[in-house]
Amino acid sequence: MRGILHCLVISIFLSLIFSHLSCVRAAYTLPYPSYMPGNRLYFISRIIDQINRWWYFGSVAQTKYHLGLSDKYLVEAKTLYEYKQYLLGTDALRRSTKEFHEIPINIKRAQSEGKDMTLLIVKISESAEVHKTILMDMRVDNPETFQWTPEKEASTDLKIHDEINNGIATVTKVLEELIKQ
Amino acid sequence: MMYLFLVLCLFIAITSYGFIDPNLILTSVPIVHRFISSLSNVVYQQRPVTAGIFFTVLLLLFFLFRHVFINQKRLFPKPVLFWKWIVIAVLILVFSYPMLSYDLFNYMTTAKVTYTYRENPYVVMPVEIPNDINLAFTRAANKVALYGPTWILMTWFPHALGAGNIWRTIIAFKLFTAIGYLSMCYLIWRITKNMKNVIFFSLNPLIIIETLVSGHNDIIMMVLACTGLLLWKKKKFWNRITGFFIFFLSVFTKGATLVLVPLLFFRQLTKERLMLISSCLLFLIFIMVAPIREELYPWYAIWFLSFAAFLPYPKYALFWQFCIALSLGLELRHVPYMAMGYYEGPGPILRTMMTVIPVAVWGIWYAIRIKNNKD
Repeated sequence: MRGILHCLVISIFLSLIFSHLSCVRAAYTLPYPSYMPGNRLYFISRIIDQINRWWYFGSVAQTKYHLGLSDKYLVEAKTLYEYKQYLLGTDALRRSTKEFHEIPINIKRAQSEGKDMTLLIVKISESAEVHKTILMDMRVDNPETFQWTPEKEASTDLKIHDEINNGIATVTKVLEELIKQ
Repeated sequence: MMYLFLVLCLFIAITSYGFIDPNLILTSVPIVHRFISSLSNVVYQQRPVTAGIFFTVLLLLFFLFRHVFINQKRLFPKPVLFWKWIVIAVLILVFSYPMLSYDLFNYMTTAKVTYTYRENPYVVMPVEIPNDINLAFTRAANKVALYGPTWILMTWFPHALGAGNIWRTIIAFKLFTAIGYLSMCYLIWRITKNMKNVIFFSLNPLIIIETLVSGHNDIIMMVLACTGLLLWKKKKFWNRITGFFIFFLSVFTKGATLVLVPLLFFRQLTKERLMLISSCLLFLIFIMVAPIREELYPWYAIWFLSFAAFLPYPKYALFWQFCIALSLGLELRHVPYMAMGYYEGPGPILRTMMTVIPVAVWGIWYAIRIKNNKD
């Protein structure tokens, strides 16, 4: 009986101590998909993206801009692939990779301007990990190639895995560069 | 009496450095550094004493305000005399430390993000450049720019004047708001030609403390709004265009004056009506914003006090009395934090009481006066 009482007191004591410690940490989350390629209003979203290129002036802002776009286009690609929209999906994936490629260029520019990029580098590293995981899943879930044949037009051979591999390579390269820093 | 006013200004200017942020070192001169440290010790270690001193100084300022207002003709037979005193007071208070608010540091850091780092302040938060030294003493650094583009553009001047030196930048920003204060006083004089109106605004301790000591940018927004609306009332086309433009500069300074936009469509309103409605609308916004922001910031009173200062005195004496009682109540909101060192606990209820009591006392006094007059 005494032993049970001791255990109870100790467990209450420990719970009081550890209840103050929080292990909660928000994982990097990709944006919720908005208008998708193929939608009539999607061009507005692309125009806004272009205007934002001007609005996000400064090296830190540019880094955030390219990261944001890369995230957005990756979500588009993932969703489009799920709906077997391979042509639009591959285009979105290509854009995502291109935007991610721009990130280290802006980080270097910011660092040369004397700006400490530690916080953003951590965020980008987390983003790179998420991108990599999603791209690897996409490689498993989608065919290697796909022949897209629209009505009244010539068919297009889509090398889906090549595009995904290119994305993984870019993300891995950026991640390695960031780790070196 | 005005000498006492200047002595109080000097006292505020010197003792304000006791409220210096522990992470901010303004000087390496040993004597000055030691003096500021000892002042800081009193402020942070003897909190109830500090609050008591602030309370006394505030009451003295309100007493002087009342005295000058009543004896204005005897004290200042010529308006020039009054202006001299005001300019001296401004010159003293410009060199005070912004002891009651961290907003000025937020202005400085946002300007630095814009002009030194050349980043868009509406996209990049100061905290995203963690090696910036200003972060050590800036609050709300985890937010993008809180003010409009007019303000961001205008901050280039004090930022450039500061030339990277923190103390110089503080003074440059305060000089900037002091220019706004003097412009507003001049505008009131130019329109009303009545010293009572100028005194109502310029010697109100809330205006003095929140503008000249804390350096809040609300005064800039209000100068632009008043000038814009008054020019808009003129008959000449170019005056109206200029007024319209200046008014929108005000809207894009802080946004509160957006509520006055409908007034642009009522050109038949008399100047007096325009000022009264503007003051009432801004008072409503001030009251409505409070529950959203969870705090009734004293410096928001600058919005409605500015327009109230244009109203003819004997006619709107009651409104002015209410404004003065509320000014005292709002300034007293600083006292609980000063005494306790934290905002929580009994802080919110104490701040509410501090605000309500002076207004309630004034209300009771007024009711008794009316009753006595009837008897």
